Amino acid sequence: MPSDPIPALAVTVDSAPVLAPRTLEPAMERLEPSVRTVWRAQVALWWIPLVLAAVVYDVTQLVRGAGPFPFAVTVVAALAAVWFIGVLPALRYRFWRYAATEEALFAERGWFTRVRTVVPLRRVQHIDVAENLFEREVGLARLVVHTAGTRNNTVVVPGLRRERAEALRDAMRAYLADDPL
Amino acid sequence: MTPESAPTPAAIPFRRLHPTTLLQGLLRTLPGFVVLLIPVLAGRGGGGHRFFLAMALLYALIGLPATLLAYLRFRYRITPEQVEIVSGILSRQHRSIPIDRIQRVEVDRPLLHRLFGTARVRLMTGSGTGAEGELDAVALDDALAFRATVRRLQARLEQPADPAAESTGVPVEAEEPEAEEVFRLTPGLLLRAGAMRFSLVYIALAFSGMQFVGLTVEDVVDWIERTNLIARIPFFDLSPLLALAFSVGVAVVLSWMAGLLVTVVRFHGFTLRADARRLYTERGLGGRFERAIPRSKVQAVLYGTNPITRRFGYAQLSVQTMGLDDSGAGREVVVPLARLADVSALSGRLLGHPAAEVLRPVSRRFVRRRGLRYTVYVVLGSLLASRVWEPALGGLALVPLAWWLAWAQWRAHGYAFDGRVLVVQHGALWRRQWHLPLAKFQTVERWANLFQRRLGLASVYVDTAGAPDVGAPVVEDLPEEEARALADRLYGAFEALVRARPEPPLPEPALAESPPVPPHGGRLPGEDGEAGTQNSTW
Repeated sequence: MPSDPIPALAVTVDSAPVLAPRTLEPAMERLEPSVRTVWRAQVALWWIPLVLAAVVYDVTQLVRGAGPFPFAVTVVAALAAVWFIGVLPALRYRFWRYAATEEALFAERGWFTRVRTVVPLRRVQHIDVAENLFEREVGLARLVVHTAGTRNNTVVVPGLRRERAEALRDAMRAYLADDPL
Repeated sequence: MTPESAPTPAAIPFRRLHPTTLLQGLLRTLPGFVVLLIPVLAGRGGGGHRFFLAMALLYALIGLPATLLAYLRFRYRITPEQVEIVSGILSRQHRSIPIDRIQRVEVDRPLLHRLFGTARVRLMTGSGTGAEGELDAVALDDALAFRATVRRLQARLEQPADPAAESTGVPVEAEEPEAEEVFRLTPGLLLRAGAMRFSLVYIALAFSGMQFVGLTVEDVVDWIERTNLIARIPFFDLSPLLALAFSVGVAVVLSWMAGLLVTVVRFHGFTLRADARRLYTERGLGGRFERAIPRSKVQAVLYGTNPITRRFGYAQLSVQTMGLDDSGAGREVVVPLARLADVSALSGRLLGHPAAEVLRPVSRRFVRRRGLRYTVYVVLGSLLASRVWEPALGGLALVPLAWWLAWAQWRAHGYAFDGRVLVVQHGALWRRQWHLPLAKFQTVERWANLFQRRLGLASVYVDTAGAPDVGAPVVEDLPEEEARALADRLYGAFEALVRARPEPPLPEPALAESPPVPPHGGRLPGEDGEAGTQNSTW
């Protein structure tokens, strides 16, 4: 490792440093498993009413006189719901990895499109720790990192324990050195 | 109470907005509410009556409590290092904006604020997405104190000798008083720039213009015949297709003339001057338009060509900027048209580095993916259109064209990275070559979708401030290994550059008793019991 010009701030949580030492190949961490529940709940909020609506529609069609495929709409909606509620959150969870070093935030995710993003901490404009109702229920939060870029204007790491997200934020802040555009 | 009188950052209390925020929020929703109630108030009953009453009830049950809760939830504080804002009812957010990232603090007072003696504070960090923090309604004195505090804290953070800031620019003599003229658009170049302009937009405009004045194909033919501009051409009568082609030709000529005119008006007398800190452009017929571009705000340089300018060896040079005005991002033409060699020399001066001459091509499998994609577009488009208009099925004949386009795009696509500037080129017809200097990299990203992975391909993208969303300089479809190596090299080079720079000292919370900072290297875990309490302050 080259000489270390940044004085290390030993920010500690559970007696372990929050940020890994600088490296281009950090050990990647997984999200909290309970994030799947959060994602499922969020998606279910939309899909369950949709499936119910499909059932109502199909029943009314049935009353009016059945077509060749009764309950076709329901079946399609139910399959989609199973995919979006049952399968996709698990896939998303399976492919999500992140790592935070003293230099950068690494985020890897995506089932269909697999993306690996490196956000140098120098480039971070500001940081949010955000949580919605579902996340709060299971004690999770999202770390939202904003840069001055366009496509990667915001990079979100979901499914972190709230304390972990806050510790990451506080540790990262020390490394957001002033670097004019 | 001003925040800096507090002993430690952790002890600085969060503050609420001005109490009248609540009232102001309600007043702002009132017009909508009144509109909802008009039918009720007007006394016109009927079935709608109940609906509107229900809406009003909904407003009372949800809208009012929401406003109240939002007010109660909202807290902010300013510590020596950052501004923190806590907000949200169901979705909660705790935002931290480092003091040194705040570029502007705006205090303004729209009408309602003036009535209530309050002001609105907005924080801009220059990431070009509007205000990153907004305090709607704080007492005017508090707003001014807030702004003063931010400025004082920033002044404290600022180093005596501003390093790094200009080090990425070209090392031009700092004492130079007069900006040196770098480029002048001669009348000859101006005419060529106009003549070689080639824009489908103008063709489309010319067409719709002809439609607008009710100029049909037949009219054009009639007019030509009447004025005896050319001898009567009998075959116009034979085929409507010929007449159509002729009409298209007229549109092309019209658009060409329009393009020429627009270019002449826009770039007449264009000059580019430069000094150590800024670029100055001047242009325009009649009114003069001047623009100063701080060189430190230049994020990227790009060459633009179209088939005609390429054929004759010309190019246009623009710079991608950031934080020039409120819109933040933008692109400014700095050379409307010049010989390619001149453009490249100038771009080298801007970046302080000559451009890479040879670009590496991406994988040939790029053609397969693009060709297939365009084929799908053509086939689907033709089939769908043919349901409305039978002859549209002839669009299927465009499939070879789709593959030609994919191949031409592959030929045009390439990249080069010499450790200092990433060059990315794409575009079969309108071609762009981006030069992204290392020091302006924002994030480095590599991705591969399912189709790419099947072919062993991946894309690499370096995000910069003010980069366009569509047509961004992505290096598409590299072989997987090459993509991985490139992304690692790009990020590695960026960090190496940053490490090599003189390190700005860490923000020292001088205004308050700073929490004990462990010596270099940190302390042993569990060495002292305060480690836990320290977390929240750093």
